Amino acid sequence: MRYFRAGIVVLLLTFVLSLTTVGAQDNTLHILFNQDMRTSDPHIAYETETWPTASLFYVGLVKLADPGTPIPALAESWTISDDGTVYTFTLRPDLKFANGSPLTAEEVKWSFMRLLNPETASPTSFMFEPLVGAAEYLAGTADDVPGIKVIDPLTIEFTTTAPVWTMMQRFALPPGFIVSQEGVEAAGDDFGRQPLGAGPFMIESWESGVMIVGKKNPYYYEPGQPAFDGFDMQLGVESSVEILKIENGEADIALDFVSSSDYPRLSADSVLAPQLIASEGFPNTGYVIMNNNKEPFSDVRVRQALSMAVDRQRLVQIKNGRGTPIGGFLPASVVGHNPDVVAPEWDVEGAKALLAEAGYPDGFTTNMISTLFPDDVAFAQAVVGDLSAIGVTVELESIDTAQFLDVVNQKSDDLSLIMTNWYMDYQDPSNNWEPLLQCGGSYNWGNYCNEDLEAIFTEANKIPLGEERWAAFSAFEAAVAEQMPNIPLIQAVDYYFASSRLNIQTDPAVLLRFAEATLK
Amino acid sequence: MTAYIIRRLLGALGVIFGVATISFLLVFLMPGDAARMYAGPRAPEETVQRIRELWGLDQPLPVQYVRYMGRAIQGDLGNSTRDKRPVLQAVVERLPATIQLAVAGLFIELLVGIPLGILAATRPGSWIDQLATIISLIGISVPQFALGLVALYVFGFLIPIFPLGGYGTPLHLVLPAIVLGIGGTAFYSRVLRNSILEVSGEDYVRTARAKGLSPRRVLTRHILRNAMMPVVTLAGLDLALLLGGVVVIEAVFGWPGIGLQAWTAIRNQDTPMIMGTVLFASVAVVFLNLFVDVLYIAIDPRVRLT
Repeated sequence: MRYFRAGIVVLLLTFVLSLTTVGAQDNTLHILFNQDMRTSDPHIAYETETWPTASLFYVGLVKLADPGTPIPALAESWTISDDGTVYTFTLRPDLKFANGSPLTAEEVKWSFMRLLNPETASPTSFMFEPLVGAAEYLAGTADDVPGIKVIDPLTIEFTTTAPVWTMMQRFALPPGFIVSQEGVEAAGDDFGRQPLGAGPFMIESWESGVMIVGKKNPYYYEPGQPAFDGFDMQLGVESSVEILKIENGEADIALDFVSSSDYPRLSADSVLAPQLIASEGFPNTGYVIMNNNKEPFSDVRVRQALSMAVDRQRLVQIKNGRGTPIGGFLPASVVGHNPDVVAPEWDVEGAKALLAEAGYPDGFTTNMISTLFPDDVAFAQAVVGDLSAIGVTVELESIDTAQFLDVVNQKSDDLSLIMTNWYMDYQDPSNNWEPLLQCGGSYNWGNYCNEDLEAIFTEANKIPLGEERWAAFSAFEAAVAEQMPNIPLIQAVDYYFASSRLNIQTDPAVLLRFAEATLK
Repeated sequence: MTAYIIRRLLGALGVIFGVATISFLLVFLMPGDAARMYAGPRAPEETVQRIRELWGLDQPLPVQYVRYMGRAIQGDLGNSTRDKRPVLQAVVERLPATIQLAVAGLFIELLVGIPLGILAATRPGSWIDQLATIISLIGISVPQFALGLVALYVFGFLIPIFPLGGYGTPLHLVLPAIVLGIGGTAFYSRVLRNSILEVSGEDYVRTARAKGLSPRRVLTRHILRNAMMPVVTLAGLDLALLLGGVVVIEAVFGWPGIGLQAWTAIRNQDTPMIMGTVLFASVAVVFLNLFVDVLYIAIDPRVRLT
């Protein structure tokens, strides 16, 4: 009897163990995400997790080989008019959505019209607002967008009101992904969870907060891709548990960046460190916005003094070495960055002298807000400490993201300093100037507006992508750095953690290249 | 009895209406902007304004309130502003996971808490009483997220008996239910211990002993039946609270319950979803409360309807 019981126990344990050993040796891509997934709709997505998720189900006319080089995707070729306003794409023949229905120029036009339809309420529609008639259509005062023209079933033409040399990069981003009209109409409000596109995978099931399952799209334009029969994405997995699951071979990659608390252990482990994937494809810059509308920040000497007072090496230490100090408005890895624009020396005495020259020998008292993200709070506290060394007393308030966005978008004069960071949408210097520092820019929470710099920018931005443009922006960055409109801190590098069997690269447009990923 | 229940039901509806109104006002007063959260920090102000107009968020509070309540009475709780899904559907989808965890957690609490409480009360000062006190202390003082992460690391990673979080099979339920239950175990064992010691001094217990009944019979027939009353009340309310969601446990174990849903909604200013989860929680509390009251009458004849 005793042996019988022991046998039962052993059998049960074996059964339990077999259940828990999820097969990472199978041909399914196992993805993890820390929270529930909001949507896969590429026209609604605008987060570091929704963009790669959208890229599982969708693809656009082009992809990016590197930040500045478009390569064929749904379009096999294209031409750009000499004046940079007309983009004519030739689609591959016989394209199909994942359900087998044809994908022609008409479907492409419908998809862009949906993006620009005010009813869609797309947060990324502004990227295609330069198309002729798009602004009117978005405002609800026009029925059509003349800037999108179907020439024949395989040819579609986009016309912009003025040259926008970053247009090709925008076509590679999720707002440029092609959604199926049939899919949108069938799913209605639930389209975010019932995706239908022409990307590498197609949906099988979507259980909110639990799991998304997809299988290989047999009609994907690139033969042999994806290398997986399907994928599953487990949702709501606690960040440190994500790491354990990947270490355990239960999962292949998490859509979350490795946290500051997990990074030291992983990077120090000779086996696990090679599984860290740096996100150099989409640079992230941290900076402090100063309210340029009011004293004392309207004085360039004060802005320079504050910048000099910041010990950027300490910020790099806070990020466990995952970053480099910057001194200009561009990340060092972006073309057009001026290598001579470097982070100012940490110089407390020099900063004090500059402050005194500006009329603040005893410093002043001001305020700063940040979100509650751990890195933001740590950075804010470090900067507040640095500024106190030059007599600038900062009252710091760290608040929830919802409240933070509400407060900063009011652009109130009560606000003085804002700790924040910026991930580039596409890697062109204009993407760090237009939203962040241009007069009236959507992310320009410090109300910076310098007409002289604006004029230089406008000229530089007219130049097509290439050496001449980068040289112009390089000079522009030096001019901006002299004015120090905000305090550049560091260019941070985030890391993904992948299983030892997965071969995947980061992508400048959608963060991760799932379609091209393979098993080692 | 029927009249009593009907009266209580009508009162319950009033409470739920009140909760809906107050929470609507509170959500309205919350700093932040649902349209901005939906559009993200990068979207231009014009885009955000268009979304506000589309969702009617630019309307004054009374207009928004009347619209919301008008639809809610007809069973339409609106669509989430975060993922556009119908709120009712989203809440209903989370129900199975929520109920499973709540019931399993309560089960563990009672399964361990009641015997521990009895042992601690019948043998005060013994090693069992001390062990019960230690478990109580651990359950009360160790934060649930720490306990959860340690449990996952030990029983999911080092000794892989259970899955590393997630939802789906009974095995997935074991660790979260135990971690959830441990805190409550401590609570119930202490309550029951004190209740037993209090009841043990009553006249009818002395009489029972004097009649020559065995100690076991005195305990089960006379002491426990009376000492369990506070436990029944607490268990009913506890279940209602657990149904409202256990955010920390759900987050640590990746359990798709209603607590995480509410938390995500609050963080994203998702007004319809916040209202939906609050309404669900209030319905759970009000009706389980009513159920416990009715149950009380059934098990304790001394309680009379007033």
